Amino acid sequence: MKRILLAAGAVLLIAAGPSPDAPFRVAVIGGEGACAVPGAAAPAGERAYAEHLQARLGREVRLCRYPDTAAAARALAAGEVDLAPLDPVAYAPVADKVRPVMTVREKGALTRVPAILAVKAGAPQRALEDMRGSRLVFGGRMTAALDLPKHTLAQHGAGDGFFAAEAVAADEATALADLRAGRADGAVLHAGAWRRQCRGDSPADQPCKDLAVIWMARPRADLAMATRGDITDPERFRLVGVHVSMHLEAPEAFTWATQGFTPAAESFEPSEAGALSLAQMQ
Amino acid sequence: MGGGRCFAWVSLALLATACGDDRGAGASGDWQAQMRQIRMAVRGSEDDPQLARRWDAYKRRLEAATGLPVKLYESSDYNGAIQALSSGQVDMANIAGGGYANVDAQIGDKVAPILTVRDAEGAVGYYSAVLVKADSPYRTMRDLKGKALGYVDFNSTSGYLFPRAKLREQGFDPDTYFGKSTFAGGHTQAVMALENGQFDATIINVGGGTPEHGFTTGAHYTMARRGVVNVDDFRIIWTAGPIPNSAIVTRTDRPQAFIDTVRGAMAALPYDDPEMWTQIGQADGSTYTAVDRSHYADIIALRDGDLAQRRGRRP
Repeated sequence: MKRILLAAGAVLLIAAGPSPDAPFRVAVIGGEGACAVPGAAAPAGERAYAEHLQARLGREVRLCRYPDTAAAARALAAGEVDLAPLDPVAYAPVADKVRPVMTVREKGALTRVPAILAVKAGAPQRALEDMRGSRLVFGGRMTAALDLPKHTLAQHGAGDGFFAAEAVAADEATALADLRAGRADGAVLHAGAWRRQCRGDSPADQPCKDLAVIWMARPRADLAMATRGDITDPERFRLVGVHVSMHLEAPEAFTWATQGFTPAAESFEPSEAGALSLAQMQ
Repeated sequence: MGGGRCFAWVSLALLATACGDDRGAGASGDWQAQMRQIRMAVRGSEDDPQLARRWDAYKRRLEAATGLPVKLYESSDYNGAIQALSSGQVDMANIAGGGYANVDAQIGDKVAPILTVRDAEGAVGYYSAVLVKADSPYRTMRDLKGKALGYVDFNSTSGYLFPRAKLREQGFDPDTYFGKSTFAGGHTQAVMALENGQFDATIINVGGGTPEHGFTTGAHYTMARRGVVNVDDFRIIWTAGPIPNSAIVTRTDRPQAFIDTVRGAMAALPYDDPEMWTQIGQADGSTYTAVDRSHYADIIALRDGDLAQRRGRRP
């Protein structure tokens, strides 16, 4: 019975999506013109991308040129394209109609690792805004411990001058020790470090029960590939699955597809729906 | 209207054949009709509730992503998943690098790794550690000459393959240096056997840190968090690594759309549902990252070398 239901679900999921006969249209920033399959005169990378995507999706792939991300965002919201690179400014007016699905990671860079801000349990601060003018300590000098959280805090309005003091501890354990000792009002760690410090070594061990997380967020993406918001999960997963391995399977296509993101791209990475907004994690 | 649309208008009971059009299931639907179910091999989880939660979460995720039933094949030993993959009895597996190397030796590119876990700091590996009891006199590898060593399993990467290669590099012949070598059958069993005095030392996996800063994950940490052992009863005296993290692997003779959908669904999981991601034992801030065979080239070479070494010893 379960199998029948799942099979029926699969049919519905497929049926709800776009026709497999319909072209898959990808917005390209720069220039203007009707959607078209890249011709023989098109750059090799452009043709490689369209051919790779077409082979993997089983649909003709057309590239549609728009002068800027705002125009691409409008086209995506209107259903004139299926995938478009958007930045936060272009995304905002169409946020209710589209959703980010992928970002690009630079060579040697980390993924969009969440940062957390913890205070002592019972402290009066309950949100990031409450921390204005307070003393902060970061849990080390590594990129994940310092650069990424600082960048994320700045995106959320807590950049230079927001805190009265910003110290950098030798490591995550020292940062929490500084918080507990009152040498800082808040400690910022990346989510993995927080987990390491707080998970405990036995069922009864709750090493961070004296602390409270008041803010947690991933860095907002500067640019993300977005689809229409009503894309089905199976369609989205297939699209993401084709892209996240593109650097391995079709390097020429990958280099072309990511040139607008960064000249030193390493891979496509999936993203959450809120990647282009200042969303907080629960 | 394209052929794929017609399903919206027919009774569910009619399903794919009702449209009478080869394009009915559409390019994106043909593979589901072809596969009908997804069979996934995973390590047995009877001694680790977190693993059971992880496999259940993966099953539900893949069922939702594909609309197909997912059948889990839990193997009590490492060889079960290896043989199930090699023989084509399963479509995909979650398997360690050494296990994949074994499959690769048997069937080559008929199986390929598609995803592995990258931690928040960008690392994609874990470590092998020699564990002794804290109240034992053993402090270095030199103290273990002639002693009883427990390996995890012949097909274990961190509990056999990788540390043996590193021991050889450091001048310890693992086949002659220890007085006795035994296979415990699993990481949990290896720790329990050490706890019970069956070995003087055992080699297990550890992670969530570095030799310099200490570790926070691994068999004895997991067991301690469940209250089975006390982490302070053990001491790590030797480590080797990093070892490439385990992989989600798929048979390459399955439909490409299946492989792409699985890759996308699993890669998006930590972003779609970060709470579930951590509930199943994955570290906060970690993600899946796409890999291919080259990511495990060193492990494949170690496996080949170990097999050659063992064959060379036969009379």
